[in-house]
Amino acid sequence: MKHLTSRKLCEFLDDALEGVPDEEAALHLRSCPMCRARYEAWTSGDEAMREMLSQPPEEDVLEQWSSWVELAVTAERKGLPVPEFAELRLPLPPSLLPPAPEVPRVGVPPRPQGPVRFATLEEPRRGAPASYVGQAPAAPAPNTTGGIYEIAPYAASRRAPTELPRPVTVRGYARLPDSSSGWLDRLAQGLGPTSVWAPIAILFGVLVTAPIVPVIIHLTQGARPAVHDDVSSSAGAGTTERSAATSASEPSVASGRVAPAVPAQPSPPPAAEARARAASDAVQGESAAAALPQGTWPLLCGEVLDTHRAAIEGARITLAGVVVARTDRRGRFSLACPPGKRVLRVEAPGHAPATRVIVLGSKTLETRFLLESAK
Amino acid sequence: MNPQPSDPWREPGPDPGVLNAAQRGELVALFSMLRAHRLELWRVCLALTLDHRRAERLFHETLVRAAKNLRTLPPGSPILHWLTRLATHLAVAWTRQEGPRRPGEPTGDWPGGGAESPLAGDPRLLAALADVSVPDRLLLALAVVERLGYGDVARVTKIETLEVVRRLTRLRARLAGEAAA
Repeated sequence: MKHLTSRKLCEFLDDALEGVPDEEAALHLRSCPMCRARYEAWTSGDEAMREMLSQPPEEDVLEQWSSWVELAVTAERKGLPVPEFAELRLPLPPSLLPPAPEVPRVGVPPRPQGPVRFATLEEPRRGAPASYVGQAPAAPAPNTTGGIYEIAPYAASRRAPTELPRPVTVRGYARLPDSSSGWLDRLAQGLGPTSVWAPIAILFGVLVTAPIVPVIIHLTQGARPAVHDDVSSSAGAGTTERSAATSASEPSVASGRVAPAVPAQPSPPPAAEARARAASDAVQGESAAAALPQGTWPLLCGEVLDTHRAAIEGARITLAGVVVARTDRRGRFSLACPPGKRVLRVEAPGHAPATRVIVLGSKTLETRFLLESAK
Repeated sequence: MNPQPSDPWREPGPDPGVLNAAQRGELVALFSMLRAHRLELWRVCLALTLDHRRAERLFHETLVRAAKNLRTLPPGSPILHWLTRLATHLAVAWTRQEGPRRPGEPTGDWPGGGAESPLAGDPRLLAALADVSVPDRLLLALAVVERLGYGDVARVTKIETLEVVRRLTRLRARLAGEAAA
């Protein structure tokens, strides 16, 4: 038999030999040293290539893709540029920074037109992505009550794909449907005539509220009380978004506290925007209505590394004194924020904090922090 | 042809209901479609780039492009084939933008490539693979690493089967010669 051609050898290697029986080719390889050497060289090359190109990725590469895709798709839907984490741009020194533009007023949270609910304060759950402090309402408004609504995770969430989408619970304002009534109204409907239960309810109310009346008088005459809004992970899974009206109508989460009406919001804002809005209000010290469309907010992205260029996980990203995000396992963070001059501070246990003044324009800004070890 | 064909490569197109939901913008449907093929896509990206960092970048960018352009997925087409072609087009474009290089050379950078992390293995084979064009590297990855038959390779790459055989033969001969040199 003639020597095996390269093509026949290739096909024999891939079990795709045509025209020549495999047994005949194998017999020739046993008897022909030249063809056998070529076959062994090709086989060893295939094995080496197979081993080299089958190397697994780093642990989190296959897990973070969904967060990355979600971030990109969400940014595109909102008309925002997709962040490029690797294109890091260091901020200008303060001497070269332009004067800070006037930051438009941004409300926290958006104010629905109809009756709203206001939630009671709760401790943030363990592992919560972030928390923020909201601004106290200026004055109580009628037809408002408390509530909890859930929103879908946004840019700041870079969790494993199996956990996505996971709703985030935000305690704050939520719009009630016009036709809905509070739990007191529904309770009244179930109890029957007002003449029967009203005196009992009034007596009970007087007994309960009597001890706190002096406190309320003190607060109304003194400084305006601060109200804390918490952002925490929700135990619910499988739902990506839940309307404010639906969740706000649940009587189990109502607290009965009264809060002012806030502008209409068709759906709850994403967590990153809620945190950014909280930070924005912390900057301005007021909870005015939003003057800048949310879709035009630029993304602020970056990464936090130590001096050995190793990622720092869980670093606190503070914007205007408010913790708005934490870094993920790769030391990265991303949040949406209204444009303007901002003071960004990064704190991590065991490292010296770093503060940087950034100017957010209309495009995505990326930055990198190198934290030195704490002395 | 091959005793252990890789199943994801031979799967039919995605379920029409899931595909429609994903094309409407439902992320859960999109993730459920893409999740099943991430490991195969990673190996393709690794073969196209020969670098862990670049493969990671290509992997992510391919999935982002797929999410954005899901409406262009041909009906009935296996999604892994489509993802592979997307990754190849991206790798070709980025390689042209960067210019010729070898792994480890401090030349240009991919868009957002960052630090490099070349593959571990025989340096002579790695250098020989670096001289191979991106589309030819895809052929090697599909035939050698994924163990696809020539017909399947032709379907993924949309190249004639005879051309696949011809190129693979030439590539193996070339790699063996360079590795032995």
